Amino acid sequence: MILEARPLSIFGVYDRGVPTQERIVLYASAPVSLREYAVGLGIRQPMDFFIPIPDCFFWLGDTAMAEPGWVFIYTGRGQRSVTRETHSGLAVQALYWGREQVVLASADVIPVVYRFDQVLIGNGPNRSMMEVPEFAQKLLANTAFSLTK
Amino acid sequence: MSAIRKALEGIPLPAGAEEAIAAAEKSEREDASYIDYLESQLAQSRKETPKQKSVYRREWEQARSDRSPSRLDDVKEKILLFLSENDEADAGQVARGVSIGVQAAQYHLEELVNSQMVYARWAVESPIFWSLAHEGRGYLVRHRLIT
Repeated sequence: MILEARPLSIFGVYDRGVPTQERIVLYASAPVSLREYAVGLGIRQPMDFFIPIPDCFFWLGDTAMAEPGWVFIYTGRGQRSVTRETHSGLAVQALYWGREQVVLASADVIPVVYRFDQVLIGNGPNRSMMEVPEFAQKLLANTAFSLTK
Repeated sequence: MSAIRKALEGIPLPAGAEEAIAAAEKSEREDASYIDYLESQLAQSRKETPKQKSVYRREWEQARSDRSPSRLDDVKEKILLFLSENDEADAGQVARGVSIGVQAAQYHLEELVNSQMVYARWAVESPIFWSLAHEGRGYLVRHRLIT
């Protein structure tokens, strides 16, 4: 299953299983705001499908790339930095996922890039089911039923 | 927050004190017992008169300024020496070269990059390679670690 995530694309996974070096490399073909993207992991399936691995989610952060360039996502720990790639001369955003151990040692584990479309933010007070007429009716009916039993 | 900052919390600091505190925090070769003593005095001075406070603070600043310019810790010096003998190396090679863990090597290398003693070469298809920068070579020369 391949969806559009332009201008980002997955360039590759390098040094799989090597501590401090294991990295996912994304290429941004145009200026892009990384805040709209996150990376997860999945298990490769036939026909370009994948099964997401739970609890593997890394937001790329509130950073914008003003020009085409690279995003190096090291799976280990380190200091976020901005630098230049030696051969292409393009900018590199070096990000660190902060995982305790390497996570891409198996070639069947693949990176997955998510681009946010809509986000629900859970910062409101809890709601009561009584506020929703449809639920309230059922709640009252069930309560009445249990009282008559 | 360091102990010394906690001790000084809420006390207006004179010019230059911030640098002295930062140097104290950074230095890994400080006279811990003397600093502890002064910190305790400073903490105590929060309950005392402004005059006493300023005396303790002056004494503390003097103690800091009397020390020789801070040297890097042994591990960082070993890393600089290793890189002076090897044109470039990845974190694993540095770790093996100075007999430390690769995570520790990564940490020290990033610290040395921050102080411009080492620079890193980033490439898509190869690991980060670290090399000695002019500042790092200068450090080794100044401290007579290389001739």
